[in-house]
Amino acid sequence: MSGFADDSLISDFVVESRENLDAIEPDLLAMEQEGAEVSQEIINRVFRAIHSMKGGAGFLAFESLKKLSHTMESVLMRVRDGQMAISPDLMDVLLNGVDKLRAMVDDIQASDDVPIEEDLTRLHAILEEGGVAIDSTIQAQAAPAEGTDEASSPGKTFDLDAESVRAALEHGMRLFAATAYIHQDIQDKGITPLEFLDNIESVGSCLDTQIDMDALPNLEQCIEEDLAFTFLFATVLEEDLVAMALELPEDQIAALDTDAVKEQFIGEPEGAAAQNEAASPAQTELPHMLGQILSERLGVSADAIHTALGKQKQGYKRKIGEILVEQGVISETQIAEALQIQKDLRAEKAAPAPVAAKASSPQVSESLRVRVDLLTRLMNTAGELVLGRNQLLRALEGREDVVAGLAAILQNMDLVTTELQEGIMQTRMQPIGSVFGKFTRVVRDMARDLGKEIDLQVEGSEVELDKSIIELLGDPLTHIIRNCCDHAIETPDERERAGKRRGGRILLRAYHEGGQVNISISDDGRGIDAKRVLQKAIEKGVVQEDKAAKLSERDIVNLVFAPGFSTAEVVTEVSGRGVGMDVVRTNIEKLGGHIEMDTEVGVGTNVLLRLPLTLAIIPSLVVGASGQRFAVPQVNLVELVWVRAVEVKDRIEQVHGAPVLRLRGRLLPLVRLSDVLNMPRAYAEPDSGAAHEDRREGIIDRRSTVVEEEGAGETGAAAEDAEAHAERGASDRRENWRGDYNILVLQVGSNRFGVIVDELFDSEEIVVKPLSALTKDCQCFAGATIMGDGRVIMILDASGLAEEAGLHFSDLEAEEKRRLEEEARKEAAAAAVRRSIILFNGAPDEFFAVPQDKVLRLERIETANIEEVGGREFTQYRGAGLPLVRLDHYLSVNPLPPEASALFLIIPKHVQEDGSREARAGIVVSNIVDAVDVEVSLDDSTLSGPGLKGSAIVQDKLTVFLDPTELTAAAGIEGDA
Amino acid sequence: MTDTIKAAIAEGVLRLAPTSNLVASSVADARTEIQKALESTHEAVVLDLSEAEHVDSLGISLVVGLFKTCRDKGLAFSVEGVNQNLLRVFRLFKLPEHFPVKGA
Repeated sequence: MSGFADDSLISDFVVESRENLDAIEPDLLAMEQEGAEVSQEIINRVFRAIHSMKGGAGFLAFESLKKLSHTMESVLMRVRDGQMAISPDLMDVLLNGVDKLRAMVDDIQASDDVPIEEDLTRLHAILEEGGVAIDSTIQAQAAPAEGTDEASSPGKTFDLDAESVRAALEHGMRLFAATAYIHQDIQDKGITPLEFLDNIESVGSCLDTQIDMDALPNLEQCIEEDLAFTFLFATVLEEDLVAMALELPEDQIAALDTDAVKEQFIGEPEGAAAQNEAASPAQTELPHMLGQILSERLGVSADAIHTALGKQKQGYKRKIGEILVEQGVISETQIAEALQIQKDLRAEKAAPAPVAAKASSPQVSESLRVRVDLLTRLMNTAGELVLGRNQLLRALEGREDVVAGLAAILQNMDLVTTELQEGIMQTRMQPIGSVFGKFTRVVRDMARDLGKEIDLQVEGSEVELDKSIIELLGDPLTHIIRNCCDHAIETPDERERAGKRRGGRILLRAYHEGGQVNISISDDGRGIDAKRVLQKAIEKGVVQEDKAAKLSERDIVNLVFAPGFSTAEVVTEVSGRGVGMDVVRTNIEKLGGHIEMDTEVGVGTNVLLRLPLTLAIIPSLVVGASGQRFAVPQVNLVELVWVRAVEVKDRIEQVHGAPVLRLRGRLLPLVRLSDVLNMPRAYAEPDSGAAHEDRREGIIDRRSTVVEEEGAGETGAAAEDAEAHAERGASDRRENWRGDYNILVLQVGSNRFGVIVDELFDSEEIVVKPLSALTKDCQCFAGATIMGDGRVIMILDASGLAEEAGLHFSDLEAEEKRRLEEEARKEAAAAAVRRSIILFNGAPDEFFAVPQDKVLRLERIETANIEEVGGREFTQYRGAGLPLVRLDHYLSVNPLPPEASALFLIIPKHVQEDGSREARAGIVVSNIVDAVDVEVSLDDSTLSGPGLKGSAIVQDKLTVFLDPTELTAAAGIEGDA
Repeated sequence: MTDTIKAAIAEGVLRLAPTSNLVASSVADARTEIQKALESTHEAVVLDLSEAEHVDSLGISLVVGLFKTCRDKGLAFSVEGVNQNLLRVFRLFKLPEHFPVKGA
């Protein structure tokens, strides 16, 4: 490596190269997946990234790196030109190349030690297989036009730097391949090679040259033989002017097809390139040749410049500007201006100012590379600032009036601190795609190795997480994905036999949920057999046989995360995931996350990770228990439930001997924080506030066994308690508000549980400090933090608490299910006896009921309007005669009072075939009493008759229930109700 | 005839140093002298151009011819003492790709 390259240049190169390699891999995989359909943009992106690495490696003289990237570039070039088909084998070679490049970049100083011969051989083999290499493409184009003899084409290839070609093309230059003979074209014309070179550079730029060494066999013939060299030359001049300017015969100059070269090197459509040029003419760096400046900036015609050049060539020893002034083409002022432009441009090129850089590539200014340790330091400082803010607010609480405007200042400081902290946190957030990106390759390689077909789908790559979490997430996720490919997804044949698609699918998905980020890894593989897991778990001693019976299927499957479960042997036998899953769980939990698994044999497995967005500063609720304060992360806190002393018996009950909170139909295991942390419980005396030991045993039965017994005349502490108890008299704690329970509902994964605390304080942003070595093994604590008043308090770990308390969620799930079923049964039974009825009188002291849904209308009629026709009564109803039915005609009941002048009609509902409802008859009754909902069971044993359903007591009256449709049918009036 | 090339052998290395510019007027003589010097036994040849401010096309031809002959004989060949202008010319002809060229 060259000695001049300083360390910062190299480290920049390493960082950029890593980014390039990270970007290349998914693009290569996309190329493989999409094959011929792949967009040119993807190929170009890969090409540019590799090219950029090659350029950097060349500049910094990392030879192997340059050689490998150059060869890969050649292959990619051919792919881009459609001369080479994309195949898995080709991609293997390129991906291996990327791996080698990565290995070199990882230890850049030893990059030349990385063996690349095999890769080069494979790449060269691919290049030789077919198509035309980039160099020979140019050579083919560069071959002088017709009429040129063989000797004028040296048969060498150009080694082109695409950047130079692109720059030249973007400056509107044209490319020429010219051949010069050093005797004939240089020596014989009385110029030296140096003057020839200067001449070339005065009218354009020389991109590359090749000398035909073979033309000179040895020392003996070196003077006699002419030596040809060919050079690739970029200039704004036209072809005939080039020949003149270079003083070469026209047949030794060939113009290259600029469009083809542009397509090859810039890789963008002509239109887009033109648009770019048109859109930003001022941004385009102009060439630094005076002739060009005169032509482009000052409008001097090419002809005039050509004439001046011609004079110069003829030996006129004046500068080109002077010749032009003499000819009156331009003024001296203009020449001075052009020279100034040239000087400025050259200075600019020598030391590109930030402004110039910005102008040429505005996107650069949008991001800035910052060292992570600096961000970490800023983050810590912001954390301290948050603590300081909290302390200041606490210290000045209630004293805002002491200094005028203090309240506003504090409020502003509070706001700014929060914004600052959020901003800094934001700088550390990275899209999870940086981790997800590598799995496409992992899955591809594993699928190829294992002979499986696996399709990895990735969703939510844009979801952001703190960098520290992202960094630690790679290994656990890789582990899960590898297990997925290796064990979960079946071979294509197995899948086919199981009636599945041959190709397996793994879905990797990140999404936000409740202030957390969830990552789910699901597959459609063989799933995990819970029975086998349980069997193995018992064999391994992970779970005791007696406890095993109580485990739900879900609990059993999640035993794969238990330490001691995972061995390779288990995995092969269980045929699922399992290798080192305890390590995965430990890692995820270290991140403050949680992992769980769902599986169904033959259908697939889903592993769900729940992760906090950040680890450093978290919103939390400060709670108190046994006189101590604790912080509970808000992400775990679902809600706060206040159970008043008088409600305790209704809302808290025992299931399998453990207290549970009934919350909207769900049963949540309930623990006291003091008990879990093994702290003596305390309660505050209602009046004095004095703390006493709380000796209540159960949460529901709130009397202490000691207090119960002390009535027997115990002495000592018990006697004092008895005294205190006597003093309380009627105001028993069970009825007092201080006997209320504050319950935190915490969530761990999909499980929820309640934690009883003594006091609730503020919500606060807390800065997480890691636990000291002495307390790091306490699973109940996730860390510590410093409060506004300077006190250190512990941060509770919800999953640790649940584990420490030995909560059995599966028991409750079963109980919940049982209760739900029971409730559903009751509901169904209640629905069976609930009736909506119309209550009416036949004779005034006889009560009847008909179902409301069988009644069309209720009408009042005058007795005078009842007519008798052919032994049947009718009344006029809506323009037609409606037959009437009297109950006493069909049932053993009393007749209606004959003196009544007005009666009521109950018109049963008759539904016709077309769905319309019609009135076919009216039941005459003396009075409509009510329309009510009743829950009664009918007694159908005592009464019988047409339409009679039974009897029941409604509103303290024996009521006969009728089916009006059946009754009218019995009266000879048919209808479908 | 004055020497246009100073030839010296030290530790198996034949050092050839033109005493003035390597241009058309001196190239033929230089070639003869070099050919003579090459007859002795050595393992490597170094062309020292410290004294040659200018090298014209024929000079370039001479350098290339010398390189080819050395290569044929299996001798290592390098050029030293090349001034900046000359270095540009050498680069134009891609000579540093064929043999080591050290600046002055």
